[in-house]
Amino acid sequence: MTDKRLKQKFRRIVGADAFLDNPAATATYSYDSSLLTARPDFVLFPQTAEQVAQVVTLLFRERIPYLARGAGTNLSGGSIPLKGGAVISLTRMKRILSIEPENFCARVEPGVTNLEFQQALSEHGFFFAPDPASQRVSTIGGNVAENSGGPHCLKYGVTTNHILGLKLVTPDGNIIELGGRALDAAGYDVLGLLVGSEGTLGIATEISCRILQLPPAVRTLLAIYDATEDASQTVSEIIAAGILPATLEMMDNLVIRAVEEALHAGYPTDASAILIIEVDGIAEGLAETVRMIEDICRRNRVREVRVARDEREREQLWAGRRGAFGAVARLFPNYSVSDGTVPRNKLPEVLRQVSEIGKKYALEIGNVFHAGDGNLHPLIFFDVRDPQQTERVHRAGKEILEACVAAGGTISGEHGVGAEKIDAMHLVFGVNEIELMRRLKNALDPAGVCNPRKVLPESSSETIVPPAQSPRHSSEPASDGIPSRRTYLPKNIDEIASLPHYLRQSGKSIAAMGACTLFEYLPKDIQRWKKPHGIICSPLMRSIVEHDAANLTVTAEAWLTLRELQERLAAAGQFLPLDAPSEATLGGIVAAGLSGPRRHLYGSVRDLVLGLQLVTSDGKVLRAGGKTMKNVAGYDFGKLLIGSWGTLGIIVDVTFRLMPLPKASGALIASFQRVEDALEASKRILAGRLNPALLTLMNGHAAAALAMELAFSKPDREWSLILGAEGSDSAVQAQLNGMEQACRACSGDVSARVDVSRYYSLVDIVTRLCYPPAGQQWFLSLWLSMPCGSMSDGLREVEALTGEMTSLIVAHVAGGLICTHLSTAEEVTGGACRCIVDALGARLPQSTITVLKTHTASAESMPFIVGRSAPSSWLKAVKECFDPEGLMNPAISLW
Amino acid sequence: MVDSKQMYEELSDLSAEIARCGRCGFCQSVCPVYQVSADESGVARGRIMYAKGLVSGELGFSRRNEAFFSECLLCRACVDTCFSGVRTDEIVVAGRRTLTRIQGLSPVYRHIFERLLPDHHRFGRFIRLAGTMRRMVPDQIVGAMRMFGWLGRSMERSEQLLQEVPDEFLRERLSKRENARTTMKQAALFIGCGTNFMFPHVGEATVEVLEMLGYETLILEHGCCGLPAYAHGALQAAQVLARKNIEEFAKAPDSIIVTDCSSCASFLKEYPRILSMGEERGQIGASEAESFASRVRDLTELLGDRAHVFLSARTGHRHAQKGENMGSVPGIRVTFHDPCHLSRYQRQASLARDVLRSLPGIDFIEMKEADWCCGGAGAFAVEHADLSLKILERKTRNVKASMADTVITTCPSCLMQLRSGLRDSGSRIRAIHLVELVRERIGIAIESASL
Ligand SMILES: Cc1cc2nc3c(=O)[nH]c(=O)nc-3n(C[C@H](O)[C@H](O)[C@H](O)COP(=O)(O)OP(=O)(O)OC[C@H]3O[C@@H](n4cnc5c(N)ncnc54)[C@H](O)[C@@H]3O)c2cc1C
Ligand code: SF4
Ligand code: SF4
Repeated sequence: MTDKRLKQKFRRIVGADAFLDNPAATATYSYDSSLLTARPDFVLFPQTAEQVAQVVTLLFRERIPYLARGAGTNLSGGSIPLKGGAVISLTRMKRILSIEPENFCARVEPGVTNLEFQQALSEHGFFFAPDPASQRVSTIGGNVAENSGGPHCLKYGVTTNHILGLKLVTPDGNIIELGGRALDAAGYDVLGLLVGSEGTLGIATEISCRILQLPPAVRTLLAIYDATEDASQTVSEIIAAGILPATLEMMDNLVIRAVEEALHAGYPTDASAILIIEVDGIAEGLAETVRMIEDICRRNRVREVRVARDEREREQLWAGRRGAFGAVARLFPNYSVSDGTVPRNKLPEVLRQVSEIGKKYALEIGNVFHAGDGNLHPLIFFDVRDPQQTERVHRAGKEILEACVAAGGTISGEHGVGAEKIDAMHLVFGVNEIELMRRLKNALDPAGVCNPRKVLPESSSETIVPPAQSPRHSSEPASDGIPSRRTYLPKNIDEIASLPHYLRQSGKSIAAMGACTLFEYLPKDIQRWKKPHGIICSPLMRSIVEHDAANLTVTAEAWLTLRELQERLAAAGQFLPLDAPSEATLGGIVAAGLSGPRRHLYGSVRDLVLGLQLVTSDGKVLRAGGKTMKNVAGYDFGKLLIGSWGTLGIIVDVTFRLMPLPKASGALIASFQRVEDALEASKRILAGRLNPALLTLMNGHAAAALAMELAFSKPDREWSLILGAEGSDSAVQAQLNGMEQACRACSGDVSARVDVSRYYSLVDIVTRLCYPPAGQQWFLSLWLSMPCGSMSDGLREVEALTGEMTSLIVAHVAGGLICTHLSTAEEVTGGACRCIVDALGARLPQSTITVLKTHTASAESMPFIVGRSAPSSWLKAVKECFDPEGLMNPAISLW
Repeated sequence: MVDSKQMYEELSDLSAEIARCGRCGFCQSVCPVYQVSADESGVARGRIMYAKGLVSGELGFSRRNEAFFSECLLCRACVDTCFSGVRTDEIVVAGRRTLTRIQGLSPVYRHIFERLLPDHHRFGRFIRLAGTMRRMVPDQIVGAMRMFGWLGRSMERSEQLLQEVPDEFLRERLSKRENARTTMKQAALFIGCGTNFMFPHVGEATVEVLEMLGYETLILEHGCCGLPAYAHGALQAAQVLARKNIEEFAKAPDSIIVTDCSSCASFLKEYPRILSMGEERGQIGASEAESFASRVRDLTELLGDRAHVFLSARTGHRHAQKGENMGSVPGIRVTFHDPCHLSRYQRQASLARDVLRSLPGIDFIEMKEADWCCGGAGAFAVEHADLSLKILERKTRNVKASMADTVITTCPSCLMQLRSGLRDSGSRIRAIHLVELVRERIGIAIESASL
């Protein structure tokens, strides 16, 4: 197509005033907040997803490179069109589509700025946890693409932990949906791969965000230090003391002075360092936490601790922090900001190294950063007009990143790799990892037109593939057959790594096996399944590789059981807040990716895994992530392993983030006549910002089982709510009181109280009831993950369908999860099972269903997961990138 | 080959300023134009990068690119937000000067700047003529009226506005007014074009209130302050006006110079800088300009300094408090719109609020985004009507959301814009000048006190 005709077409799609191609206009899309520039050939401002899709389809067809752009504030060159082509500016797609408190979800268009979103949410008493310092301008689309972080991510996690779904225009112009409104959709976490992929795998045109209730109380402290070491020591000690502040930010003298001069935030200009510490939560517990923090500060020779007295003072303290980058900008002509991240206890050491590097290259370096996350932001000042100095800046920047990596950290905590940090990718990834990422990129963007030359180091396949030859072959999984299965018991990674290679030569498949607690699906009964030829089970690989208590992380081998891990951690006053059967192995828990009763408070497997190591079907050992809280280097392919049920690779070790064991805990059980009342009580509890640790609803059968195990008398009403609280003594008391009130107000009756001594047994039993309990023949066992607001629909459907059968229902109300197990005295046919599952799937279109167990008769035809978190073609592509020959656990297909 | 640095010398003089932009993009969050257009070319960062491109020779100038400089309100919101404090408004004006130099001034504008603005008699006669001739107004007048945003976006609006041209201009009214007692301090009144030709009642209120404050007002034969010329890149014409005004006010060397137009006030205060620019440099003594500027007062300053004491003495309510019902003084709910030239150019946003809070019977409500530009910005309202209306929409929305029944401001240009926004949206909220409110409130208070 001629240039002119093409442009006409674009104009027709987006409108003449939304298409720019004159040189001056394109020049204003040649930069972002990094130091790079490159001009696009034209700029488009679509207003709808359909327009984006049409534009992209055309661009794809013509093989014109393009990229999406939000506010253009990224610091890594992500929105620089290095290959020219089109810039698709999303700034005119800025509607907030819905705010759904009942679903803890809000849907926005990508061009909405983070702050506009926060303001709209706050009117409903909610907030969106990611709060980058650029929130006034940066867009949610940009935040998603960069997996942005901010001060509050210390407590709440980064963007990826708060995205429920995306409407995405694929690199070739199709509109697809990833995820939805539910918290933990089953299947490959393609959504998790997309977040942080820096716009290289598609354009988000609608984003479903997880929103949280504003904490009932907040305290903000400013701690002023005469020595930087004392400040960083304070940070380590606060973390080590088991306090999890909402934020823990640090600034050194140079930055303090700049901020004071520009913004008058009230920081003392002679201080060597300051910390901004914010804690939030239930008012009752806060005073105590503040006292503890003040003590730690004092132990570390703090000069002064100021507590913000009101919202205005708090705002003033934060204004200084948010304006810090800008404030230093006035002092020097240019600055370069590094974004390396280290394990938190390595902070003092790495800061010292940074300052030495500054001296070595005769450069001034200022520091303002997310200390609690170990995310450094050394600002190196220079004058770009001085080429020698600029060269020194590059070298210093590289050395800083090397120092971070050497300390066990990574090259980017939140700003992304973009174009500027591509060279540094080799510092953290080997060729195998990069090759896998490249394969994912090529599979999802076969033409290589979507934001090319970003994230991944240059390779020959970077060139744009001409239309004629973009085949995506699909290979059938290895042939079925019922061979005699062998079990391999490798002793270490090397042995595991040699296995697939060996099996592969004969086209034999393999699956990993844990303790078989979750793996009802895995090969117990040879008749039913497309069996793997070999089973890998490695009970010898059950050691703790490293427990970094000060950093609150643990790395353990995959065959360690949860119980063993928890016991070891408890000795250090910590725990892994994942609820799974305690005999399950860590590898199994991660591979299944199932969440538990305390998910609302602590997050799911996807939130808690920081890194993992795996062996792929070609025998390669790959490392994803690391042990830092934040990590946005490269694609987050580790996410795909979580919930992959062994179909992508064999997980050999995992690094988790840990939590300090709560000081106090308690629970109560309230019973209700009607399910509506129980749900209403739950609603009130959530709306009352009580932040329960447990909020699980059970039907009579489940409650009876629970009562028996705990030696309680069985509640005489049909529905029971299990309510739990964790935290400080006073906070737990306050929460339990609040919950009790809410239950009574909804005609609930408190039937039992559980104190700290039996609290963990309670959690354990509730967890186990989510899986088909032994001692009864369950013909069907389902997990339904759905938007929180659909719980009552979900429960109604489950009840209606199961009718006369005996059913056990355990529903995590705030987690949007219903677990149900069915049994009946009558004969069950395979068809009946299938019928139930299909009907549920049809009636609950927003949910995904995992079939944990099914009747033998239906096994062959029963899908493992009903409802897709991504289109089948994408799921299949993922599988093929990891395991093209289909050798990994052929028993299960997730696409 | 022409050297781009020379070609765009006004901009290349500001190279250091341009280089200070770190491209953080934060200006997007406050730029009223960007908020509407969502296009980089409408935000400080884009304008600066364009200027940079011109200076470096990478980009050229064409009609299509005019918008980079013309579609700016000069509201300085970006300057305030920018951590580096990059003076985008100056870069934009320099850009406009460059264009004016390269393209030359159109005959219409030349006529306006050189013939009408300096001479209020001639200007007045022209406007009168326009009022009677309606549709057949000569170009110069249309141009001049547009220059102040008096002539509308549509013919209908122009007609309406022309109908609003008062029967008597302020100067005519004041000439009939009895002179106050001579024992008072003197205040030389700077009568802005807007006040004179469109809002004479505002000017009258100013004179009355000044008297209450103990000032006798002095009327001189000055011309326009020169801001419209300056903002259009006609630096020389602005400088001529400035010189003339300085000379004229030298006739009352000991009195302060007061104006009820915040735009005039801020520009008059900038005379020393204006006169030190370009070729005119040194034509008038820097000290003369400085001493002139130091005598200039925005009326808000006088009110802010004195009103409280003065008013409470008058009304017998020493501690007039917000929202308190002053005896039988009926209360009203008032909000304030900051003219950019008051809050950002003169930094007197809080003074205006002090005045409001000190007035009897007023419930002061701070509206959302009170300091956001209303989109009037003189000629902007007319020259970029669509943009201006969209910017105004947001302002009008905020005024309404405040639930006030009266919106106050201190610049005739804003007043005109606010009124048109409220009228078009069918609102009954009234928009008046601060001094009108002061007079009204005192009047009511006196009445009720004497009952
Ligand atoms: C002063 C300053 C402070 C900052 N502070 C922080 C901070 O505290 N934490 C932090 O994490 N970052 C911070 N940043 C970096 C930056 O603001 C973030 O990366 C932000 O998320 C980028 O958003 P944006 O809208 O500007 O995106 P852009 O810069 O326009 O784009 C960034 C990338 O996202 C892609 N993209 C944009 N929209 C979409 C979409 N809808 N779909 C797919 N891809 C898309 C682009 O192609 C590009 O690769 C800061 C930047 C500045 C200048
Ligand atoms: S003008 Fe200021 S606020 Fe705007 S991009 Fe430049 S430095 Fe940032
Ligand atoms: S002066 Fe106002 S309109 Fe002009 S760029 Fe700055 S904020 Fe935008």
